[in-house]
Amino acid sequence: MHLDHDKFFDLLVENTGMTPEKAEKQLAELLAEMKSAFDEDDAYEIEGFGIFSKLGNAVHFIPSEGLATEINYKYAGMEPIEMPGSVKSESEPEENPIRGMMGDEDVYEDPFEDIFNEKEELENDGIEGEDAELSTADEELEAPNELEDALSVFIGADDEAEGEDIDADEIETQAEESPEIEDPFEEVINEAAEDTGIELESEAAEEEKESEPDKVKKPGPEQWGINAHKQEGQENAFTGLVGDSKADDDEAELPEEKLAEETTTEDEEDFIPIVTNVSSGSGKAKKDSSKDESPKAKAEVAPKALRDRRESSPAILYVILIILVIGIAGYASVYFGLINIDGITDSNNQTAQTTMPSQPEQSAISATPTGTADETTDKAQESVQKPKVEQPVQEQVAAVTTTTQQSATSKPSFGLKGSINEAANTGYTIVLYHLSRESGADRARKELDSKGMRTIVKEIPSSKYGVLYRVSVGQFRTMADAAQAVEDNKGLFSENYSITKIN
Amino acid sequence: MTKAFLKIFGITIRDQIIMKNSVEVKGLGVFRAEHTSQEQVKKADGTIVMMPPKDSIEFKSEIGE
Repeated sequence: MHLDHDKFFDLLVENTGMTPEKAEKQLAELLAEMKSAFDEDDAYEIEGFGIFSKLGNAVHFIPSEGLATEINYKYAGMEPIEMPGSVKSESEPEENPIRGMMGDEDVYEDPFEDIFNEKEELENDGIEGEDAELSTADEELEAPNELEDALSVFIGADDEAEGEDIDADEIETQAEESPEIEDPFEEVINEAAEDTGIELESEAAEEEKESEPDKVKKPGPEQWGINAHKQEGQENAFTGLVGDSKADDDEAELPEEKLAEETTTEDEEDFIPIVTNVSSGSGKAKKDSSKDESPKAKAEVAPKALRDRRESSPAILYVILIILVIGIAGYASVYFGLINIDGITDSNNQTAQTTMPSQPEQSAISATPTGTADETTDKAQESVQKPKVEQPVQEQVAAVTTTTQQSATSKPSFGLKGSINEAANTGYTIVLYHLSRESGADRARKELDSKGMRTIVKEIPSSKYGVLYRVSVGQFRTMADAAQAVEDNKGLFSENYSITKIN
Repeated sequence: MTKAFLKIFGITIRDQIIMKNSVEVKGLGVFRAEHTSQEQVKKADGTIVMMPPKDSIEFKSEIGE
C-alpha cells in the first residue's frame, strides 16, 4: 500500500495532535532546514530516524541503527551460515599461499636439480663405460684429463669436448651459472695447470673417495665438474654445494655422534636395571654373571629377577601366615588350658579344668535348700580335697567378710543360689547395692538369704563416702555365667545391677 | 519546529514501513520497504555463505531530480 502525502500528513496530524496548520508549518520548516543543509553540502540528521545526506544531486537516506533494526525485526539475530559443501573450495585457496612458498623453495633448489639431472644424463649416455675405464686406470693418469676438461670449462674451449658433448653441456651450464668467477682465474689456471693442477685434482679425487666411497669407483665428469671449481678456489660459486657436502660430512659425522650418544645413553639406561637388580637382592650371582653379558642381556636379566621376586613373594607370605596361625593356635591352647604352662595359662581355666568334673555334683548339692545334709557331704569332700584348696581359701577369708550360714565350704562350686563357697570367691558376682551403713547391708543380706541367694557383703573403701558395703549375690565362674543368671532370673534383679569380680 | 514533531515524524514513517507501506513526503521523497530474500553468496575466498533474509528501508529523493 502506498501512502501519498495527504494520507501521511493526516497520520502526522493525528499522531502529533497538532492542528493541520501547525503540522504543515512544522513540516515546511523541516523541509526548509533540510534544503538549507543540503545547499551547504551538509547532512541532516533526525535523531532516532536517520541521516539525509546529499551526494551529487541525489539525496540519500541512511537509517539509524534503531530504525534499521526495528524494520528488520523479523530477521533480527539471523547471521550468515557457511554452506557445508563449500569447505573443499575453502581449503584450496588456503593452500595456494603455501604452494607459493614452496614454489620459492623449488626455485632455490633448481641449481641442484640441474646438476643431478646432468648426472643422470651422463650415465644414460654411455659415459658409464668411460667412467669404468677411468676407474680402472691410474688416478694420476686420469687427473690430467679431468684437469684439462675442467680447464676447458673455465676457458670455454668447447672444441676440445668432441666425443664429450655432455661435458661441454655441463661446462656451458656451469659457465652460465658462474660467468664472473671464470675471468679472474683464467690466467692463473693456464700457468698453474701443468704444475699444481694435477696434484690438486688428485687430492680432490682422494677427498671425494673419502667422502663418497661409492662414487670413487666412478670418478666421472659429474664429479670433476664440481671438483674443478673447488680446485681453482672458486668455491664461492658453489657454496651451496660445498655447504651441502659439508653438511653431508656433518651428517655423516652426526650419526656417529648420535650413535655414540645413544650408546652412552643406553649404557646409562642399562645401568638402572643393574641397580634395581642389586637392590632386589634376589641374586648377587646374577649380577656378577650379567657383568660379562651384553647390556641387552642385562636388561633381560633384571625383569627375570623381578619376576622371580614376584613369584616368590606369595610363598613367603604363606609361610609367614602359617607360622602366625601356628603361634596363635599354640598360645590359645596354652591360654585356655589345653597345655598347662605356668604364667601363661589362665588360673580360672586351670581351676575350671580341675573343678569341671566335680561341678555337677556340687551344683546338685547346692540345689538342695536344707543345709544339714550338705554339711555331712561337704565335710566328707572337704577331707578329700582340703590339701588342694586350703591355702586360697584362707587368703580369701581375710579379704571377704561373709556371714553366711555355711561359709566353711572349700569346694569352688558356683551358682546364684545356695550357700557361699569360699573357694568360689575367685569368680564373679552380681552387685545389687552399695550401702553406706552396715545395718542396711545386713538387712539386705537377710532378705536375700531368705530367698535362698548366695549373699556376699563386702566393705569397699571409698574416698568420698568412707566405707561402702557392697551387697552382691551369686558366685559365678565367668562374667557370662553371671549375665546368664541375671537373664534367667529377671524378676529378682532390678535394672541397676553390675557384675564384678568377688575379690 | 519542535523535537516532538521530529520524533513523531520519524515514528510515523517507521510504522508505515514496518507495515510494508510506502510513504510519500512531498518535497522530500518516498520511503519504501525493501525485502531481500535469503540467498547464497560466494565469497572471495571461495566459501559459499547463506545470507539471511532482510527488510530494509529504501529512500527515493525528490530533491535534485
